[in-house]
Amino acid sequence: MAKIEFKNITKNFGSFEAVKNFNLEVNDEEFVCLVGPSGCGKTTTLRMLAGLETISEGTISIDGEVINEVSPKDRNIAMVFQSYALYPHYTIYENLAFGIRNREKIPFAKLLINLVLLLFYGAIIGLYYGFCQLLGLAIPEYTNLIFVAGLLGGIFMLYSFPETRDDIRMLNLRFWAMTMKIRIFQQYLVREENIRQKVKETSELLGIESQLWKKPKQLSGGQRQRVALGRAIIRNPKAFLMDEPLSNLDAKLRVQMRAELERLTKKLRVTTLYVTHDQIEAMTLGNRIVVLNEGIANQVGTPEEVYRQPINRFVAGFIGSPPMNFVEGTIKQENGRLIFISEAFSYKIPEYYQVGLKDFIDKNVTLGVRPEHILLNTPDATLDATIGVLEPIGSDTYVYIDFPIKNSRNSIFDNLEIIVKQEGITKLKVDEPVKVKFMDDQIHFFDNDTDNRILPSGGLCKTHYVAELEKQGLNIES
Amino acid sequence: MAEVEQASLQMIDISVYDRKPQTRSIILLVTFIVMGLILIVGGFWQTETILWNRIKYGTGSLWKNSNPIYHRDQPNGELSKVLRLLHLNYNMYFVTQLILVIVFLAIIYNVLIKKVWDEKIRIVGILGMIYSGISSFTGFWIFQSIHVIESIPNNIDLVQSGQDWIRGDIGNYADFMIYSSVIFTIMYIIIFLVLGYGLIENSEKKVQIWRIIRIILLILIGALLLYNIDQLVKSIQASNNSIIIRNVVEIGVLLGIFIWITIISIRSKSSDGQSILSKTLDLIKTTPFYAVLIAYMIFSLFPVYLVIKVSLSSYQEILLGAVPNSPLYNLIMNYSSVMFAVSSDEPSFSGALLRSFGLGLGTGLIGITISVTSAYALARFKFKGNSFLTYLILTTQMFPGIILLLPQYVIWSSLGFVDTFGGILLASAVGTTAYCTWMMKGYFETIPIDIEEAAIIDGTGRFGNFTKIAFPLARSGLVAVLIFTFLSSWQDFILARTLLRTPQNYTLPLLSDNYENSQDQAPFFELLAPYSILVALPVVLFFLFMQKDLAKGAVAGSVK
Repeated sequence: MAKIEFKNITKNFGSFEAVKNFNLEVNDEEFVCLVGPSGCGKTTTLRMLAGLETISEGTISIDGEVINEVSPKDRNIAMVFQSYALYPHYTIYENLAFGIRNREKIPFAKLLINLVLLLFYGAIIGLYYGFCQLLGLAIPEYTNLIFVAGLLGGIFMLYSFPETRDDIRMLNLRFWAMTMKIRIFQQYLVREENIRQKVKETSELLGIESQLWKKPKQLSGGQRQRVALGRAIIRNPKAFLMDEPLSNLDAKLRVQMRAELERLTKKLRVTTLYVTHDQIEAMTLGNRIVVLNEGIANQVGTPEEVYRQPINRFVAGFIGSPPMNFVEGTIKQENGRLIFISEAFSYKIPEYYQVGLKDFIDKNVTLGVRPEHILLNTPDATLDATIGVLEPIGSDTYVYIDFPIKNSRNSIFDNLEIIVKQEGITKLKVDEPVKVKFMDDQIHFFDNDTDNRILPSGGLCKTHYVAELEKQGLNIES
Repeated sequence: MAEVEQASLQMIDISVYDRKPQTRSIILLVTFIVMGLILIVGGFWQTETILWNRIKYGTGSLWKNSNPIYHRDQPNGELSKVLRLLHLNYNMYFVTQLILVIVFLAIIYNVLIKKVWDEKIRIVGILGMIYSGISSFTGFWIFQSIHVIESIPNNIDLVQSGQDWIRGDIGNYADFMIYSSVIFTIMYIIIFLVLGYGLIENSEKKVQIWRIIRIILLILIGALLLYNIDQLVKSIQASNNSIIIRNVVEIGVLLGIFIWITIISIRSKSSDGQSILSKTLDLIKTTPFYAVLIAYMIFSLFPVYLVIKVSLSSYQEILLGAVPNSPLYNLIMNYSSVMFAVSSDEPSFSGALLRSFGLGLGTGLIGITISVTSAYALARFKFKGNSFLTYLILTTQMFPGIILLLPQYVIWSSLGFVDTFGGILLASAVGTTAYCTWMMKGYFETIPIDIEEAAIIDGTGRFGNFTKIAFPLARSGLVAVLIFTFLSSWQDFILARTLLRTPQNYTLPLLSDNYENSQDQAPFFELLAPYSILVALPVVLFFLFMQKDLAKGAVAGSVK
């Protein structure tokens, strides 16, 4: 439960700038998704927050406290990795308990118990020597070497001290618990009880309480992912960081886990930063989305904002499946009205856009329209096209329609392909002529020079990066 | 206080989170074996020390008040050999009694304190009782025999009176003792193996082990059979009746066991349901191919057969073609002469064995201690000179060891480490550390870095990361490296020969000096052969049982 602030974060790998001037404020209990194609710097940003990468420039602060120099374990954040990164040699119980053990260390218990074990060992050696003396047998020469080797082995055991649950069960520390009333061991037992309680709660929350004594390799993908989540939840961190946790799952499981994740995060109410390349996940899970490309944050906003009012062509083309259709063309004025003329067709620009595009007469622009906002064969459809490919996926059909592009001799030499999304199974057939209409209030225009969206009221949208720079009073360089 | 007891009781009561620890049985078994080994090896030492003291000084015995006798006997005389065996047997009896005590303590612990009484413990209990019965028999016979031998009057000069003393009562007793002791020893070993077998919980492993045991037994018995037939023919030619009878009896017994095991093998089905018989028939169809392979196998294994045959014959048989004794008698005599012979100027086998063992273990441990931490640093940390150091380590492997021999001698002798155990330990450790580091670095690099990052976020520091995550995951690689180091220092002749001068400090490979004869006479082949077999045994066993794992380990880490 914390407020995270990224201020002018830049990361350079040698001469390569992975993240450029990243600014973001994540509010308490908010779920922010970082989306973008591969190599856009989202994982790097997340890792900088986690402390796994150094920060070249800028500051990150949690709850107002700058954490650039703070080591990862002191930042009180938890991370869920793409490959789950479970500890393969520990049982699930231990995987979950690991974080708590590291935080609640009891310094002298380990030493004491090892000393006791060594004393036992010394007693056995003493018995052996005594036996030999008693029977008048000569003590063999190199027996000392063997016993010293055993002693060294005992010292090695300092590192494999029975701290974990598995080892304790093996050595039956229950006897020691009953007989030893030394305060240090009491502390030990209290910690164990605390851990047991927390593990029980978390495993019941995630539905893995029957898997607690298995090793990670015995679990399925979904169960492993739940354990990874549990490992993050059990520590009660200030923030969750998730690095594409659902990408290793198959499609069906992904949908299921997405819903579970949403339920879980709503219930737990922890600040979450979620990195993904899948825009559907971002749209469904996030309170806010940050769209990144090549290290620059293009847009920050709610899913609806990003969908309906994309800032530039990249964001418009990235969000939405199937992606938005883009048609290049120019704005011309004809009889006092603005028309969009492209190679394939000419389109009368709707009323509300007439104002904004006034400054773009005779300039090259791009028309953008989403597949779900194109209508076919309606009474007022004007554009002519033919059906190219039909892709029925059950609930919808993706119709690929071709606009013929005519050359100077008026013969067809190429096609402009546009995707249309229709509900249900379509009655259309391939190569059938069709009339096309774009929904007038769902059109976008993008300036070809800057790729920013042209606002219907005039001017260009500003990307988040540019807006932040302007806020700081810096000039826009590119 | 009440809280603590509450907490501890709750810890005990968790049946939901309970699971069956199978490792308990294995720990028990391993404890037996390790302690038994320590005590047996110690037992060998005791035998030697007592006997040596006896012969040299006429004192030192198991019973404090007995008269020292036989100090006029030659160290390698027949009677000394017998006495040696008896002492060995006494020590083994002592060892088995101690192990029995441990077994019974374990049973008492399980039954009374943990209140567990299941099939396994019952079997262990019954076997333990049978075992204690047999071993007490042995103990009785040993005590009797030692008593009889030690009652021979003091003033008899055995050398003068020649071999007659051996022929009479004492001789018969000695023969009987030898045979019975061997049989009882074999029975102890079988009982231990059965105990261990009974503790194995995985039934698939049991089937596999049985298959391996059957194959080995068949081969051994087949070889012994052939040998005995060979000896039978020779003894018929020499018309030596007693030896003929002995050979016939042995052949009969071996044949019986052979047929029994073959019947079991044929009748048992393999795990995929196909009977051994039909599998054999399939095999016969592909005979020509296999015939060539088998011929080549015979050709390459023939030297091994020769060595085994030599170790089962006596000196006269090998050189003069004299009438053979039974191979079992020769086996016992030769192997015990190699393992238990005591002499004033020659090093003892068990001493050298212990030294070699300690050397291998010490080299491995020192090498691992240094190499594991450096390998982790080379694998995970980014610092200037990282790749340079790695390649430097690789380059040092490219030098043949013999080039460095003379400089090593100069260095170690100037430090005063020549002819000491510590010296050769250091020299071997230094030699293997570079290889260990290289191998361990490879293993550390196979550990995905995600896990370590997760551990860092979970709150371990650098060192905690190493001890809790990286080291446990690299443990299998560590074992492989340890075994390799052990085996390479076990077989090391050149360095040991250079750095050890006094025979009393020799390691095992250097003991071949013992089996030389005077200049114009042939060396003692019948002792040299058992010696070679014993020295090579760990290596052969390791490669025999670890073939699959070795092949896996060789390619592990090469593909992600």
